Amino acid sequence: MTPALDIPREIGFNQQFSVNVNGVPTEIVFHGFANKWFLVVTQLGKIPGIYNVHFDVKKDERVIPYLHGPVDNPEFHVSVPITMNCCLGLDTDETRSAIQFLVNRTGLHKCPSEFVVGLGLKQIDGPNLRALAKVLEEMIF
Amino acid sequence: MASANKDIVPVKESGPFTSHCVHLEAGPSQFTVRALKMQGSTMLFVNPKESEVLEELAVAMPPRNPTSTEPLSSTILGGHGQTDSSVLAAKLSKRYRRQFYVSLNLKLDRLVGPLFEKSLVTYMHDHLEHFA
Repeated sequence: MTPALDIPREIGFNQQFSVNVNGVPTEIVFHGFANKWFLVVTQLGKIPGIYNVHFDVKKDERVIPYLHGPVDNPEFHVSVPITMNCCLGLDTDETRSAIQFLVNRTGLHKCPSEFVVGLGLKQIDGPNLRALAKVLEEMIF
Repeated sequence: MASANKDIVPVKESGPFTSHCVHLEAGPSQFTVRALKMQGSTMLFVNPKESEVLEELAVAMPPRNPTSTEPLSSTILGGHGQTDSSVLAAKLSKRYRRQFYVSLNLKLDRLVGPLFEKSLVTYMHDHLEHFA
């Protein structure tokens, strides 16, 4: 994912932009380092918490549940198995749920090894997370 | 001795966040600095030019007590206690009175270390709008 360094870029990372998610201004930064991905999604102007997310299964195996059916169907729902470690900030169930949701719903589950995510959402609920997942899927993955 | 290459990446405003990327030289070594300027804090990723990884991450912030000058720093990813990242974060936080996240992924020795710091500090001083 790391781009050729000699190619001039207009921003300092693979992706860095500001977008409205359900009407809330949101800053998004993404960069693929050689050993892990880095993602910041914040509506607070800063990074209130940082999580390191490790995939429990290999890349080829973790997408099988995704291929087997719609992950948003409760009857067939299977989450991508991950382990989250809170490195900085308040460790809450809501934030962990949001990260799991984004892994299930976006190309984050294509990450080769692990990723670091800084998440700062004003309100964590279904509509906001679905809107955010849509933006990430369209703009980054 | 230390100088910025010609392929300096121009900064682009994006809401309250800005980002910047530059390749610098420290003696025989070249390294890449990626900076993300946020509200009240700055994040730096420093890597060898040929291979960029995210191994360490540290944070430092200036003390709330105005009579104290020593910043607080902590390694939050990849490493324990004092690391190269936390030392640099503390230095930058003290200098700019601002919270700094630093991911320093260089193998520095006693010869290259001072050259690297001089190169980085000089560039930051000359292009402060990207960092603080």
